Amino acid sequence: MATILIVDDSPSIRMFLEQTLVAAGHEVVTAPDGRHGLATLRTRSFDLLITDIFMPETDGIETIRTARQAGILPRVIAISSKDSIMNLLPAAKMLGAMRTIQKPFTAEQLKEVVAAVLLQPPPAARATSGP
Amino acid sequence: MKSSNNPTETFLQEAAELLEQVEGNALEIKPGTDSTESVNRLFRAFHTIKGSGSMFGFTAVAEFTHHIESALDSVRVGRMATSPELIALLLAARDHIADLLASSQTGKPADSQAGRIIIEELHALLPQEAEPEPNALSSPAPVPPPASAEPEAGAAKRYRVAFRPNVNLLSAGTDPRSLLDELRGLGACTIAADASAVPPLDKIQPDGCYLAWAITLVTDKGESAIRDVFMFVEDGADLRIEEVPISTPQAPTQPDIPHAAPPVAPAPAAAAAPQHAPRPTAKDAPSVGNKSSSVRVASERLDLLVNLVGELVMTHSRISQVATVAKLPSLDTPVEDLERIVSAIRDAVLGIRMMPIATTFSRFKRLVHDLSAELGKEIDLVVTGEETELDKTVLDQLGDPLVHLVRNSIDHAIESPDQRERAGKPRRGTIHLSAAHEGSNVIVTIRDDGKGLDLKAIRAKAVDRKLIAPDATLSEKEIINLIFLPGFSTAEKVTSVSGRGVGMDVVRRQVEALRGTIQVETRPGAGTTVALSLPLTLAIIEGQLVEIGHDQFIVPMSAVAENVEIEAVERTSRNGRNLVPVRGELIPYIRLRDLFEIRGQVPDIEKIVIVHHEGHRVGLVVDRVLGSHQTVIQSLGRFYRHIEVASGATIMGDGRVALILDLAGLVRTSGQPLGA
Repeated sequence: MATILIVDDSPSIRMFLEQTLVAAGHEVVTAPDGRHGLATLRTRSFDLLITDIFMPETDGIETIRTARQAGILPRVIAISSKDSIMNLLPAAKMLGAMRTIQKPFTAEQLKEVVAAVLLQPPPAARATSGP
Repeated sequence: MKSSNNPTETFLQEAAELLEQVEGNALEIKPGTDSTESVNRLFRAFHTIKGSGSMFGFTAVAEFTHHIESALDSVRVGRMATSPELIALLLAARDHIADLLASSQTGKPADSQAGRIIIEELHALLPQEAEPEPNALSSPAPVPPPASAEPEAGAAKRYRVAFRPNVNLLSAGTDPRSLLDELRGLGACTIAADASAVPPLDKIQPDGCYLAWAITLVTDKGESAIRDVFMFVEDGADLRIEEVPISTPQAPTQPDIPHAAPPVAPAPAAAAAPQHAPRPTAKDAPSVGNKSSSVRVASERLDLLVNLVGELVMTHSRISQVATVAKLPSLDTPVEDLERIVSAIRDAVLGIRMMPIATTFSRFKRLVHDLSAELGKEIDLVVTGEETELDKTVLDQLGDPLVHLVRNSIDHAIESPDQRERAGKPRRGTIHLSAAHEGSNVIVTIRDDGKGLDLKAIRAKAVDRKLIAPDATLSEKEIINLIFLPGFSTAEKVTSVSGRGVGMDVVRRQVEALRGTIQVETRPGAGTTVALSLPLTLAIIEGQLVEIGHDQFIVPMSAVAENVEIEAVERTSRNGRNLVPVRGELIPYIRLRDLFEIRGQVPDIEKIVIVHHEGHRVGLVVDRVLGSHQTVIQSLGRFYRHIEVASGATIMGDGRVALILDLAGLVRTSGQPLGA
């Protein structure tokens, strides 16, 4: 059992993720966008962050990046749509998403990915490099 | 919205809400004006419907919506203009999605034809689709595009296929119509028949095939799939498949069909056909070109690009080093070409991140207005050089020090209106904020017409704080520079505006972190000028490569004044200070070999790189100067953050690491006093 934060702007996806993961025995908190997600991340620690990539305002990429810069380092799974015009998953991976998953996916696939990621150690703090 | 705990029901409610938004946003679009926000909102709404729809089994909705999303993406990138037609189609698409969703509940099938028509019409709005029928054929027999045409997918390419079969095609048992049908199965295609080779009646063979076809096909299946269609009929046929850029409108007037040889001479001899269709001229180009368009990109994606360019530059210099060693003349040209391309890419990528300083400056209007009102002062802000461009990463980090400096001017420098009047100055004070290019640097100045720095007070405070000895002899410049020492504050009382423990030392550190320098000039009673010299970019540095022993270092070129040679005898020590005479002037120097404790043979003649630092000339003694070098800066990472003498590192062509020297840090670490 793990604590998981779900950030997705679609209420139905949020509900699907929450129900699936609660049924799998996890403790789940949801946030409707990156801003709320980051606020929640600052108040308590999570084993896993599952975030949609394409969201209005603070998108998934920015959410992951801001959290990492603030030293908040949960495991991360990034979600995006299949054959989306903009494939941001490579960028999410670059920022440290451990797994990516593309819509549509089934409850079984989700549980598998989550279980696999939770088996891995959380990312270690690393220096943010760059120009 | 009634609550439900079934995700599918939630999706239906969500979709209904999103469709309502779609209607509103579509109606907000005013063709010909900037509708970026509305288009973005529409894109997001359709994107969510697509993604969530696919999750809950609404495949038809997801597939249909994908096409709408693609079309909106074309609008976002400026490939398609907004138009009344587009708005109508978006509204029709919205209705169709509502129908599809409703049909999933009622079980009544939705009108699939309606969706197809919307997609085709959207498709027709794309400029490259607006191509006329080929009309220059001697006997045009255009085949209408089939209704089942698949619109182009993301990876779709456009092919022009010219096919003239062997005259004996029919007698060999092949029906060309089946070939054309197969092509239609690959994607949207337009087919035109060419009957120009049909011979006069008396020469005609009843079972001969004299027709040729020109086919334009948009498919994501690739060229090999097209070739497969013709696999069994290529013998004796003339088949040409050519990929044409999808954004290139087809040149409409030239039939791209190989001209037939008369039937007596079989088809392959027909070489008189135009090998290439004429390139479209500017006149043919769709008119969307004159509409300036922009794409909003997350800045971290640019950072990623900059990092990759950095690696590209390093890889290139490794390759050119290998090429030099390999002494293969045939490598010279490609390596030179590579260099040209790499530097063009580097400039282009860095150019993307350049932004005018106006955005940073603009926030000061409000700041000056609010703070001067709070303090009962009358202050005008004058801004010049707002269009000066700087790398976004520099701009982002420049805000804080600038705010502090402007606050200082408002709080400490500019007097109250009454005081100013008594001093014979206008009641209203002025703060002048300006930016200008100077070589590869940008100079940002904050100038006020306030009372200027009180040098006596600064000195007294420094003595009081035991920062200097009471009898120390200091130049005016050195006294001014005391304000940059940690914990120094001359304000009698800490006001709410500046103060708060954040002193000029923090400002200086922030500026130096940007590889910049800060200089203060003041005239008592007349005002103070603070000048920040900042690099255009933090990604690349123009430097002078120097060597000590086997170690290489980079001295920022912007600081280098000249290089001189010295022999061991010329170096003198006076009162424990290292000084060297350069053209009659004694210049303090730092022996990097000693500072870095580098062992090994000291050459008889060493080089001194003379650099400017805070208005002084300082010499850096090195073994050799290897010339100028443009390098990509890599940060040292957090374990080396405390290292003052280097601001970064770069990887040399041979894989060695060269530290980029930080002059301010070097001077501090060496303990070498400045000034002769």
